[in-house]
Amino acid sequence: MTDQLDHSIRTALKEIVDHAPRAADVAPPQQASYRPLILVGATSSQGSPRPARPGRLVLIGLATAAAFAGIAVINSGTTDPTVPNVAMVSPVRFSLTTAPAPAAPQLPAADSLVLLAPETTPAGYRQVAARTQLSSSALTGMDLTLEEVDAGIVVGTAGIQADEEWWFGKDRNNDFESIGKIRIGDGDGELLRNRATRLTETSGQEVVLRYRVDGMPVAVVGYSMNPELVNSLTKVAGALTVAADGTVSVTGALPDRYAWNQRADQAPSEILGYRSGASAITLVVETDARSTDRDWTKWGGIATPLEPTTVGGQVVYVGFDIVVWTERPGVFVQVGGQGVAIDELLAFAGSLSDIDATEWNQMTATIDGN
Amino acid sequence: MTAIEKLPPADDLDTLWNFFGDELLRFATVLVGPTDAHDVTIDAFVRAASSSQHADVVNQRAYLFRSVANEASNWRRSRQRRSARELRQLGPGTTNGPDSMIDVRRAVADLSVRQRAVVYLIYWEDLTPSDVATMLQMAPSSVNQHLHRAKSHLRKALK
Repeated sequence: MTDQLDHSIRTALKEIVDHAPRAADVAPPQQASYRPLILVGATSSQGSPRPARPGRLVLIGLATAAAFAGIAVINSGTTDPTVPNVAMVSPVRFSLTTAPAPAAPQLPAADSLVLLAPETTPAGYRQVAARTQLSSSALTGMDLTLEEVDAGIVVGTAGIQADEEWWFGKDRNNDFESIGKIRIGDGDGELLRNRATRLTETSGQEVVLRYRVDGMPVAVVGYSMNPELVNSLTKVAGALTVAADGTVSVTGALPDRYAWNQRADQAPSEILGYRSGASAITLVVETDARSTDRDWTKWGGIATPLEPTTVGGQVVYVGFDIVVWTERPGVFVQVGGQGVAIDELLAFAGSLSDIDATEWNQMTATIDGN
Repeated sequence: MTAIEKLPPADDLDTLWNFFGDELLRFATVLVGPTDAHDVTIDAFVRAASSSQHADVVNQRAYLFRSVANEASNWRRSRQRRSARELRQLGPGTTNGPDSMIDVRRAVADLSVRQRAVVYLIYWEDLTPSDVATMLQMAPSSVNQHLHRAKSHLRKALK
């Protein structure tokens, strides 16, 4: 029996090991080397003000995620009246007036991240809390640290408004577990995308959520776009110059404001690409489920807006309400909100400098204290 | 490869990856399955490489194996509910008569990460329990306990 057991174990192991990916076939690890980036954003920026706690899942907003990723976050200070507390304590807002994101932060040592947009209504937050046993203080945005979430699936939302039943799962019973099924590659992602399509068509709202990408604990979301907005973004990106030391200066004409929340039927919907390492990912998503048209030239004359563009010798990504985890230096422009006070943002951007992790922790601790 | 062989510099991720990537991926595949193996391995790899302790590590291979095992534990903990669902979908058994190999694979999947790690290192890497204890920085008695429980579990699968 022992021999038979040993043989069976070895054979079973072989069958399992035979399915192992080969190192040569998968992306190698990359150690992130972050430099200050700029995230000009946006309504989907708010989230938990708390720094990550090792081993725990952290609930954060998109721009917060970016901040953790080493992107200096500049927020327009958008306040979503539906989630005032979250908005008010956002480190994004804090960073606008005090200090930039850390130059080389560690990603949250969490099991995974859940990204929430403030468009997730209080009801949505309550659902999260209920489903994940958050403390009630989570609803104030002061303690959004989760102990666990099913499957570690990362979900981001945007523009969902009151459609929590969709947001939290495929089912109308708001089964939080169902988000664990959102996985690219196994069909569920597609299913949800289809659902997003339906919502878009019925609500006029863009959307979307996602996912895991190559298993990366990061997710992202996009708003629908419109030519005016794309034009604005292009101008912003093109007007900024990032020097080798990370400082940013304005070298071109800037639009007065971003357009926002335009029609949802004017933009392509695709995951345009990503690049992942273990602790860094650049995921660029633009979503509008109505269209699969990838002729980006329609939209503001940008052929492939998510291709990195060199500005001032630095890589600039122009994205559309996207969270970016990137190890690349450059500027990332995030869109959203009701408008961005360009002068204010750039004044802050110009002051960007490295801060160390201690300073960052102190900053976030101060936020917690507030 | 033995610990006395020349190892790549601790701060050279590419070299380390080329050196250990395949076997760590195999190990991770046993621990978390082929789908998540890459992520677990990469996360473990970078976490280990960025650790302040890494520069002082003598046995990098063991260190990386431990890192993968730890990462897999974290990974699996956060995925237990999903795993449970997947196992339920897998069904209680075969429909075309007994297939001991399928049952053993299923039983392997049901082991804890630590048990899987021990089973893999002993049955695949042909390490002794003592070697496994050193590699995973566990007490030898713990290794034997994990092995005993794992084999008991697997034995039942064969019945």
